[in-house]
Amino acid sequence: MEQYHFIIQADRCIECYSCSASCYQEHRSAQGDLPRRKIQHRTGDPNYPVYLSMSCNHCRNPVCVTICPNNNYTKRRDGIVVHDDTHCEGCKLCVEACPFDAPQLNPITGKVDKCHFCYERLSEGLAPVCVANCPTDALNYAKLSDIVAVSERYSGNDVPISRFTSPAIIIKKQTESKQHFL
Amino acid sequence: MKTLQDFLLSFPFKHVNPITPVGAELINYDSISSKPFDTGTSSDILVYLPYVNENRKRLSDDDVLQIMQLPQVVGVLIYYPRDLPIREQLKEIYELFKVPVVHLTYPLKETVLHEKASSNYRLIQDTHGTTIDELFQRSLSIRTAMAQPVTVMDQNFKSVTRPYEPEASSDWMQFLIQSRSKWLQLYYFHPERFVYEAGNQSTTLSCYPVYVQEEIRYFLITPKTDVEWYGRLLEYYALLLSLVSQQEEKVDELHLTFKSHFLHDLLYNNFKSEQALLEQAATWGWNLNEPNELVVIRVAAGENSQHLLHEGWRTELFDKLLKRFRQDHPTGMIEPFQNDIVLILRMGLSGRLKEYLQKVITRYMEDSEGIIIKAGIGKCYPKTKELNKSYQEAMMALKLGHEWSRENNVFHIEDLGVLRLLFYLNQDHLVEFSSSYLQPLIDSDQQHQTDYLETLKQWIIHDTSVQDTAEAMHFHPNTLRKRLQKVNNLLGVDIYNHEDFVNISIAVKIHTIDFFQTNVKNLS
Repeated sequence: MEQYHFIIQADRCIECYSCSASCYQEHRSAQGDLPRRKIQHRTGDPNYPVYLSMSCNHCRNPVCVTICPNNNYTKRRDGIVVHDDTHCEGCKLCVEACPFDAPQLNPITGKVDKCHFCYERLSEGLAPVCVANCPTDALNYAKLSDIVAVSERYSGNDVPISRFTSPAIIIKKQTESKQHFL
Repeated sequence: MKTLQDFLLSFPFKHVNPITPVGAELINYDSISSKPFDTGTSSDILVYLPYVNENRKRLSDDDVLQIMQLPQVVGVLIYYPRDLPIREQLKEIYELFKVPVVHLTYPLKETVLHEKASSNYRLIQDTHGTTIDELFQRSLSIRTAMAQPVTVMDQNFKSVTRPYEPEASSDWMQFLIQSRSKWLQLYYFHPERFVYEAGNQSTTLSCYPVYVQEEIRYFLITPKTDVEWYGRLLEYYALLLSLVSQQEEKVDELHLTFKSHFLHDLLYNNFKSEQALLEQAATWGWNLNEPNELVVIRVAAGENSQHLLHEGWRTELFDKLLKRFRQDHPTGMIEPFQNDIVLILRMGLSGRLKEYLQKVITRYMEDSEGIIIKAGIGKCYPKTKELNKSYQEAMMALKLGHEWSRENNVFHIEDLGVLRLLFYLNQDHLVEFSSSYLQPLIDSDQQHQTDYLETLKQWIIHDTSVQDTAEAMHFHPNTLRKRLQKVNNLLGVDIYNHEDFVNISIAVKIHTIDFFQTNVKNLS
């Protein structure tokens, strides 16, 4: 079966936070909600900082699914991991366990919220809001086979990222730092 | 002029059962009559009789014998919707008069209405609700009508039709058995060539290919014949085989898709309620009402044996394993899923499940050199809706157990101990803890390729036995002692001290979980 993947072209990211801002605008529904997408600074060599626009990577073996005591997480047939907060008690187990910091606790509602790949937009034929608003095309998405070997997905990628949950993400190799002008 | 052969070719194929040979010569007739004794002798007639008439009187072999003695009778059609009880007697009568007898399972008068659209009507009738196995068995009727062997072979040149009894040890069967290896060698990859070269075989053949989705799936063969109506009959039979197998393959594909959707929904918690899950499982014939254990079986080629394995080894092994598991657990749910095999078995096996899996896996690994088979088992949850957790745990057991086991191929999530706990904790804290202990070793390994971390890991796996570790790593025990001393110096601890050993051991385990995270740095 095929599942949705985020594709990140690391050398195109200019750390403009458009993805984060648009996500916040689209999905903020309660006081205390946080943007579901964040830009993380990953670095091996300090001369070449890597900006990764990270959110839920809709892993093949999502640790949040295993750990949630109320079984609130489901993975749809298209691979999107969805959290139903109806019975969420805000125990924060998923928040602690996720290697990508995808689930976030809203301190006011006491419930967890996470990226759901804008599946309502996908059903209307639109791209996720973060992808649609990325000015440099650093962020993209595609529906790909989920049986692709891990080594193939990360070919040429030197970005440090946890892989034990088999995240549905492709990070294109950072070649050299570039100066972008908008 | 009308012929019996034309009549038979216009009648729905599934309803025609020749009891005697129809013969190569065309049999002309002027009319079809149900009252042969009332017609004159000047015109040839086909006699059509129901086996049970309006007065509920059954046709006897004497009745047929009398009819056959009439000079104007050229053939007999008997209608009866089930198996004809006087079949054998009719065969004996045929030997006396050589008048062909055909059993029809569909009444004649109703087909006359469809005469104008007969070819389409016949095709619809013949394909509607017909299975490929039923069609294979129909080759016997063709064989009877033609009075010569007719065989359907698959792509491996193996007969898929049951041989006609007297033929079982005949020259034809011997010829098929003897030719198989030669045909496999010559034509397996070029099936079209077999069709063209059928006339050049030691027994010259007429071959009709059966295409399914643009490739030859079956061959319909018979000893070479130039009889025109035989050709038309065989061509039509090949067409039916093609249509029905194509239809069955489509249904099978659909069935597989639905099944895989159900499995996905089950293993990723996509059901709204437990009740909905159980109801859908029941439609597939699976009873998931009781607590179940979940196992994931993974098959992979060994590091150095990828190039030694033939194409399709994985499918072959999967089929064998699925067959074995289904045989051993007929009530279990055993299906391939995302490149693995998933077993959902009722809890009864508890305790013995690991032993059973280990036994099966060892047996198949011995048979298939260079192949590694591993199994992960999740916890058994009381609710079926929680099978998704069990699945994730089985996957985790597979991943981590593989890293931390000496010989076993079967890992239960509960055997992982502290590793299981680590998996759920905040990654940043874990990495920080691990790095604070192991950074000197990581740096040394990266800069000088010293492999200290792997050495330490193997030493922990082998319960700190110097002998076993040295053996596993293929070097001398003294080399290992020297390396461990070096590790002690680099880390500034005493790994033989219990407290230090526990800390270092946990740090190494964390490092293994997050192996990829710490192994990538160079961005130049």
